[in-house]
Amino acid sequence: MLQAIPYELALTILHHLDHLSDLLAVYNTCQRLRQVACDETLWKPHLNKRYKAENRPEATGEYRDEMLRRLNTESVILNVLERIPDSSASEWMNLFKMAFNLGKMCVYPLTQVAQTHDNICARWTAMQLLHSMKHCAGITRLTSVNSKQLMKGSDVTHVFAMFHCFTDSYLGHNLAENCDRVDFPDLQGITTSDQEPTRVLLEQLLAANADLCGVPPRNTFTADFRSLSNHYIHDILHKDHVYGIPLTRAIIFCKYCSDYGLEAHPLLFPAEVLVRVNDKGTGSRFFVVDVYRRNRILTHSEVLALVPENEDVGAPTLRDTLVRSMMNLQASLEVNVRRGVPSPTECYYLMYTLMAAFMPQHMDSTRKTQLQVFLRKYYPLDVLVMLKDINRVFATDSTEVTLLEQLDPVLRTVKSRDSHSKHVNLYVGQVVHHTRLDLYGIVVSWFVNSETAYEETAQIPNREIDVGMEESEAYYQVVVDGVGEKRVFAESNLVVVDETSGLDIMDTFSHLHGLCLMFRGWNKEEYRFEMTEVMKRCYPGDAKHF
Amino acid sequence: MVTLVSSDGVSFNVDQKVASRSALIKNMMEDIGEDAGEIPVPNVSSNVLKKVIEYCTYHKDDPLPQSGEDEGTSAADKKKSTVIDDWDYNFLQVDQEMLFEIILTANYLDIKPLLDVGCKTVANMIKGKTPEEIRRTFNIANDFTPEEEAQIRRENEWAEDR
Repeated sequence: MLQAIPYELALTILHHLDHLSDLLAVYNTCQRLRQVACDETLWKPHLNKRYKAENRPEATGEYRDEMLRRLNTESVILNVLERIPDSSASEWMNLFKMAFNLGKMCVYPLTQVAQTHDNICARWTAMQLLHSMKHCAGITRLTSVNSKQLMKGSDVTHVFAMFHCFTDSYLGHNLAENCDRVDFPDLQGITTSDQEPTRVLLEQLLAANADLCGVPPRNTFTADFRSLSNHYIHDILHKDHVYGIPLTRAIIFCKYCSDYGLEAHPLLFPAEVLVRVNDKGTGSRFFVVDVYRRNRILTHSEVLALVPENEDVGAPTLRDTLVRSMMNLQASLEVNVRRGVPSPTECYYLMYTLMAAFMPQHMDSTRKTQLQVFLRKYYPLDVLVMLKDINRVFATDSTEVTLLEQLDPVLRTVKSRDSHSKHVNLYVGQVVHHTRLDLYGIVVSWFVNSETAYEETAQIPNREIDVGMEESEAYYQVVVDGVGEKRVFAESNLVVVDETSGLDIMDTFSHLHGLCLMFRGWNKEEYRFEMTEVMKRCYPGDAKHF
Repeated sequence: MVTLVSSDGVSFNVDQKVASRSALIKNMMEDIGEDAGEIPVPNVSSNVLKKVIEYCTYHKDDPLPQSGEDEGTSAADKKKSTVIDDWDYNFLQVDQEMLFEIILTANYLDIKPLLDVGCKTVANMIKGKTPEEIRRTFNIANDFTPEEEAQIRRENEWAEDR
């Protein structure tokens, strides 16, 4: 009947076919249907959709011929690719790029390779290439790929290894989600809880994992495909390739382990994870895997190095965890500071670490100072803002004072105006103008002599040190407008700003959100900022004016 | 009430509202006036007409498709959604011959939604099938020459796109 109905009706039916493969199938059914399926209006949308991302010149007319011609070329290329038995990842990459750059292949054959090629290396190289091309359609298709297909003919070590290549991408997240639905024949021995994993299998797993530490190569493919750069996660992952999101990685790693029936304990979360292997013959064995460094398995000496000296090798304490987090954070931040801007992820991570770090019982004072100095170096104001969150969590007045005092050595001792501070003429909260540098700022702290200033500035390298004229001159720590950071200035360079200057205070300083921790608000009568309770306690002499 | 007479002489008394789902009959009634009497529907047998009336009765309160709309939009521009609502789906669970009769009748009587849903049903029968499976489904003979056949295989060696 289908072949007997009028042309227009048959055409209407064929217009309801969304997939090119269906159209092709009808095209190859019989003469009559081919005649209908030849209608150019049927081919144009498919052609446009399929090659949209490739920036090719749009075909004009002859859509069917053009499509069939392209399909034919692609099919030949695929044929060739499928006959290549085995190659290394980089060789595959070059092959794919070659095929692609010749303009003879679009993403669809590549997804085909990613799904069905016999060689697992080819499959995941194809996936990587697709991923690096940031081709929306390609990635969407990949993430919906049937996981079984993806894992066809591969043993569990490969699968494990492959997943880990992608843990630093959201493709990996997606694959991990599909992981539940994957049926591994090799793993049947260990997925059920009543059976214990074999040692051999586990060592295989971990060895495969370790092998991949240096792999995969980073792509340099830079064709201008539809950009995913607006994708937040992609952005972060792309920028922080080396350090990634440690927590996410660690969580994914632990999830894998549990999926495989392995026992994984976050050892120094989010970095090292302890994986326990139960073996009936030799009892339990442990591996320590550093999720942070591409899942490397640590050597015995490295494991020992994680534990502080003079301590028994026992379960790590929370303190160790924090120390480790801090070191990780420091390394990651230093990289990003060199690049310019730290990412939002790191800011949150920083906050998280800070919150943990300032719980006094968990960290010794040396570490704390180290962290403080480091943070103040890069985050003069952000730290204050974060402290506000910390305070919300541990909200009692006394903690707040302790925290502020700990954070800022300047606040550590209460500064009252006495005979030693007779040279100090400015007050905390006053708005000042640096005459030589033409900067406006708010006084947040003062010192009696230059020694203090030098000590203070030594802790803040790369800041301009403003040397005063006299030994006994007062120095002030000033939060500078526009720069948003603290600088130390000598009094002789500063002029107090008053009503006559015509400076719009609110406009100048309103963006310095960290100030709200030190100042309650702008006092118009006094023409200075009013201090918070904590600040008042630190500078009782300055507070008297209110 | 209008009376529709099928090709094999069976009369169906139908509410005007039901009958006017068909643009053809609607126009006829408008031309002839209220007392149209019997309207012959040649080419349509009684069992098909009965089925089509069943559809029109169920959908009698649906908003009529705008008459101007289908002029401007070509079939290619239409949103190709193959979602079929439950009642329509069950309604079209008939043998193939009946399905195509319904489509032809819908086309002849100009019942757009029925034509649409019929075409979608057929399209769904095609989807995901190989040419051979399509031939088997619709009982189509392979009338390609061996040369054409060889060419086809190469062209269709890898069906992709899903």
